[in-house]
Amino acid sequence: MLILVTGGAASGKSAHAERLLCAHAPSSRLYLATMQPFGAAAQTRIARHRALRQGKGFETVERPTDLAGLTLPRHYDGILLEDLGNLLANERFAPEGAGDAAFGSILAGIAHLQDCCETLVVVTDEIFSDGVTYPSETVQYIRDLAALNRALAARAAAVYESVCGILLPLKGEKDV
Amino acid sequence: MTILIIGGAHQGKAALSKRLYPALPLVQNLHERVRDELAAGRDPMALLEALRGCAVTCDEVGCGVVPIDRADEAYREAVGRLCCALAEQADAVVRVTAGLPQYIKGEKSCT
Repeated sequence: MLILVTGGAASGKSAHAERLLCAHAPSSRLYLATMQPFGAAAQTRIARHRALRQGKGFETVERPTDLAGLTLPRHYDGILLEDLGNLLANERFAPEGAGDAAFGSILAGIAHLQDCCETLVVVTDEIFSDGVTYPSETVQYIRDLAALNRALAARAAAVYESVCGILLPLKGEKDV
Repeated sequence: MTILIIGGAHQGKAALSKRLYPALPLVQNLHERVRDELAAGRDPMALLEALRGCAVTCDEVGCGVVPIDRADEAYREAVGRLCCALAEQADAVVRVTAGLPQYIKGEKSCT
């Protein structure tokens, strides 16, 4: 089963995604981190997310690109993929990324992760409403993320938006 | 009673607040207060206590591309975290679009 959790910056989506995963995955849980730990802001964010996961029985794997090529040691009850925005940035802009093939590469990677677990929770970002004009490579990034969100939402069993820490159901199960 | 009213810019949040919660002191544009606090070197989360018992409006500022400027990113983050904390202690959270209220927490009051 696929569950998609979206939201703006600092909207509380990570905490909800963890809670949803823990509710669906009784024991074996994998946290798949996509953020590359460069810079103070990334370090702060990673530390915050580590503290959130503390004591919840997650294994952690860091994987900035190429999810489809990831070999996992076992089948999991649940995998939490955090997050799509970082993954796409890595695939599009990092030297080892898929570049213009990022969209297809990420969809293939997510299909692969679904084969590796019972419940996959994907965290993504709402970045589409600032009304700012960006250079073409950023525009392409925004388009790709929006297309990924649409594609994943279409196949997800449930989709939620976190707003001010409040989880709003957009599709599927309402009992949150 | 504490009410948080969020939404995009210029959606009629303050007008709605005055109409729905005329008895509550109105704190407008919390996002601007957050910017002022950060500029003064203070932690915006400290505003939380003073907002108890108020109707508070705040722009949703987190739904864009991550800003390149570190200060802009920290501002966006601080607004989001403060809104999460305020929403938790609020009796109702209203999201306003085109002047229309959507209760995402709590019930519409019967005033």
